[in-house]
Amino acid sequence: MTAALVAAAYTLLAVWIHREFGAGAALLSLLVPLASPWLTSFGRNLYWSLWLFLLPALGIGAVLSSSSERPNQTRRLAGAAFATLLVRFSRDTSS
Amino acid sequence: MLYYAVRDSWPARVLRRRVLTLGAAALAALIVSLAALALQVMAVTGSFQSATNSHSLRDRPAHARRFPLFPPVYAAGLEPRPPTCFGVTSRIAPTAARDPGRLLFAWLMSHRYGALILWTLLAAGWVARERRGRQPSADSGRSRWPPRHFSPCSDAGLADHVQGALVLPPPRQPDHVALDGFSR
Repeated sequence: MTAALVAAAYTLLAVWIHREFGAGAALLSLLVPLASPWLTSFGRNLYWSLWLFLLPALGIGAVLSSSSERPNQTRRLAGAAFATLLVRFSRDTSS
Repeated sequence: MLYYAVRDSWPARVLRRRVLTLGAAALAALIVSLAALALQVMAVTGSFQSATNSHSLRDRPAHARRFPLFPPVYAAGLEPRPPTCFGVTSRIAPTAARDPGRLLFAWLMSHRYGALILWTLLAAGWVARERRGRQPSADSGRSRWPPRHFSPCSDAGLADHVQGALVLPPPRQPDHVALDGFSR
């Protein structure tokens, strides 16, 4: 489960990079984790949940990448940051 | 957030407001998570003092080990165990290095941060080169930089929006206007 969530987090990161910079940058961003021994070592580690390291950035990026004309953008940003960081900190403090 | 601030040219007040919002949300999440941990410890040990001792164990582990703070059952769970996660990584490099036919794979799996930094720098350089040579098109399907759509944080977007909003009908000439303000 942890390995699947790590893979999903990196896939979402690659999708975001593809939207912002294009296919080449996304492929390179997938190549860099492939070359990382830390990812393969800790990818399924229950203590070092790597996907939680990416979760706040992905949540906040998802809010900020959406249209900025929405009137409650700051409220949505606060909600996403609180929810993702709460999950991140809860896992960190309970381990 | 810094990426979007640079990309969309946020004014300083917008960046300040959003950074403060983010900081407040992070602080609230930290407080809630610590409170949840305290409740968990209290539910297991039956004492709120054990919850505060658990926090002090994280902050001052030497002090907490010197003075017994926990009930015996809880203290047994806090006993240090031999490291497991770092033991896994130390077995990778010798295994890969023993096989001379997999030198490239061994280099990719090496523990040097230099290799990762090199990959990252290569990727960043390639993206910067692509950015400089690429002309943004209207139907490219991905984000354009600088953005041309209206954004309250973007000067260019604001200028476009104001230009569009200022297309007014031609002024209507009054057929009869009284000099004293009353129509005849």
